[in-house]
Amino acid sequence: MLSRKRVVVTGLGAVSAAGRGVGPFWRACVEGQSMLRPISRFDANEYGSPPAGEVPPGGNASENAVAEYTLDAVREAILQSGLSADMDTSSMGIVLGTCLGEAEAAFECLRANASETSRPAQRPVNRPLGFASPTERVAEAFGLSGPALTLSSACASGTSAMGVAADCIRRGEASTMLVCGVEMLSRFVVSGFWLLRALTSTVVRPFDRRRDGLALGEGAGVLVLEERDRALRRGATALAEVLGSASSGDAHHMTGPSPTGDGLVRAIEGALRDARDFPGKVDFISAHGTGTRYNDLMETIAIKRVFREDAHGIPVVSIKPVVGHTLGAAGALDAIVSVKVLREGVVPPTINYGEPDPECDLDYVPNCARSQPVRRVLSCSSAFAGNNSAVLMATP
Amino acid sequence: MSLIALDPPAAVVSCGLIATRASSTDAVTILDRSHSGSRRMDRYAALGCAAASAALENAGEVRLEQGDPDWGVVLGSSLGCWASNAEFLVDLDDRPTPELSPGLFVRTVANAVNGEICIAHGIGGINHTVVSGWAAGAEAVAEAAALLAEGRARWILTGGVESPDDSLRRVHAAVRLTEDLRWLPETLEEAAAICLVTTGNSLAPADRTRILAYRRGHDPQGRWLLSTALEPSVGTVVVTNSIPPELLRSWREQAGNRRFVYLPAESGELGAAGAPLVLATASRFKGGLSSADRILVIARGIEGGTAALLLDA
Repeated sequence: MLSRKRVVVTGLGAVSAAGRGVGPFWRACVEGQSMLRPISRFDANEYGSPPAGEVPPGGNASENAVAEYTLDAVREAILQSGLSADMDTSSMGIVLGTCLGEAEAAFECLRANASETSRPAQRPVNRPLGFASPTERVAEAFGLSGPALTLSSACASGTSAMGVAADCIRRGEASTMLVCGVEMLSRFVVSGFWLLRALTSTVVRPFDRRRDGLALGEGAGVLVLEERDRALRRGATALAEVLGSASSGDAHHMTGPSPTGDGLVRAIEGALRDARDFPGKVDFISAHGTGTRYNDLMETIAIKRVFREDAHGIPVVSIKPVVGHTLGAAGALDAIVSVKVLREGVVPPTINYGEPDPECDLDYVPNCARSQPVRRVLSCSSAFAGNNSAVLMATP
Repeated sequence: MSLIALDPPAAVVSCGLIATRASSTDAVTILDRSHSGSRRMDRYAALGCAAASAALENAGEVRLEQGDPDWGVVLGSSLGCWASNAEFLVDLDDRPTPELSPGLFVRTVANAVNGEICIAHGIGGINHTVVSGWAAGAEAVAEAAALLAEGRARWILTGGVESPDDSLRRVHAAVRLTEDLRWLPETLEEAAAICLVTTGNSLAPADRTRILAYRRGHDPQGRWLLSTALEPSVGTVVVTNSIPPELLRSWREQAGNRRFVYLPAESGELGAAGAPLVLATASRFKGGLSSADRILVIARGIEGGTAALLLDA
């Protein structure tokens, strides 16, 4: 068995529809303020002008949005972690989760070069564009020499990245890892979800009887993970400890979740097992909670199957009505919420909740935040192609 | 930092390989026509699914239950589903959205290949799709081997899949127009190499190739990885991806009197499938090329993402 080191979170960074920074993001979550608005970046009339969580303008105009969101959030997280500019980056790495990476930039290249089939490529591209581009940008900007991995597990990418990054530290591959989740709102994804009839025509209402679909969002979430002893030696504040993680496959359907919640049950149970010596009880669950009929029901079933009689006493929260479903960034933003819940002792609400669904009968913390001590949190994501991921954290 | 040793090592039980320079074969003919779901797959998913099926078939007697949590899928790809993304994008530009295919949109996620393999074989455990460029296949194999060593799965299908289409080859050609990237190969090849891997202590026959150690890192100058990974027992160094000529010269020199194999010269640029292909054929590398004990496989992406696998064939 490989050696196993303890892993703590020492920094957070966020870019979301609430603005730049963890501060505005967390405030919007706690105050239950939806940042979803009609899409302004492109004409979305043909999709029924759905609400979405667009990041407000204000970043570095020279960067494309994905790189800009990622680098902004990384800088904030590193600043909070107290890692200085002369930090030792030889043992520092990154795991970035994304659905599409710098797709928009790559699509521009496709438009310029792919359609003229009778001619050779005309427009040079100054660097490769793909899933891994934002990862490489961060690794280059900060001179990282540790693992530089990019994961793409659709909407579970951010949560999967969290687990894989923690594993890199536990195994001794690195002493510090950046966990990033990033996604950009585009016509590509809006049209796709519209075709699947997955977008809400009204408002996002996770776990509510009237829920009729999701609203998309964009942004980036970043967490700095460090080997615990090393972080404490340098005087860093440990915000949370990562206890365990797991992923799973539904083996059921490419878009629809397993109606029995089997896949998510396996991911949660895997994370609990990975935590070792864990008492089995959690005080808060950051749910995927997309607001679609099937996801929310599946999640409820899975949570009840794992936690049995305790399930009804666990606050289960979705922040999707606040910043939208940010796809590859969602798991990282959810993990940030989980860390903040541990630190602040405040559980944010699931907003837009009005009519209970008899089949979704857990404590979703409807509409108002709640103060309560929380020691152990679970963050879950589920995705197209049947991916599920779960991460377990606790007060350090 | 040197290589991360795997204790116990991971052992390759069986492999499924599909490497072809032909571009006319569609997904349905790659897979058997009776294969569940083959018609909904793009070529990327079909290649991966076919290679996974072949690996399982070659493994002989292995038991798999529906949703089996002891089985996992950890794959790497540089290009992933980009061909489907390009097709959807072109459709989006050319046609009214209501005329577009929702099925095509579903294929625009890189983990579609994992999903199809899980559905086809009932695999319910660990599930990752690594997309970190050309090093992704080696990174995925390393991840799978580490997960096995930690006891988080008993069997993992791991490897790499690449399926470039014409539009992506044209984008690649555009990248080659940049002066400092002219060393990139002219063409990208299509391939899938997936191995069934298990823990090496009890579940695999003793004569199988073993993954002893690994290292993953960002090494844009190519300075540290080879030097820190070269141990005396390494007899063969295999570089699985195209690298700049000056780096190739430097690595050849560092390899000393060891056998040095530059795979792109033999097989073309196989992207993330290159390192898994070497894993699958390691015993042949040893028998045909070197009498030394161990093979060091290095995969490197264009921008410096690098991974090394130490194999005992």
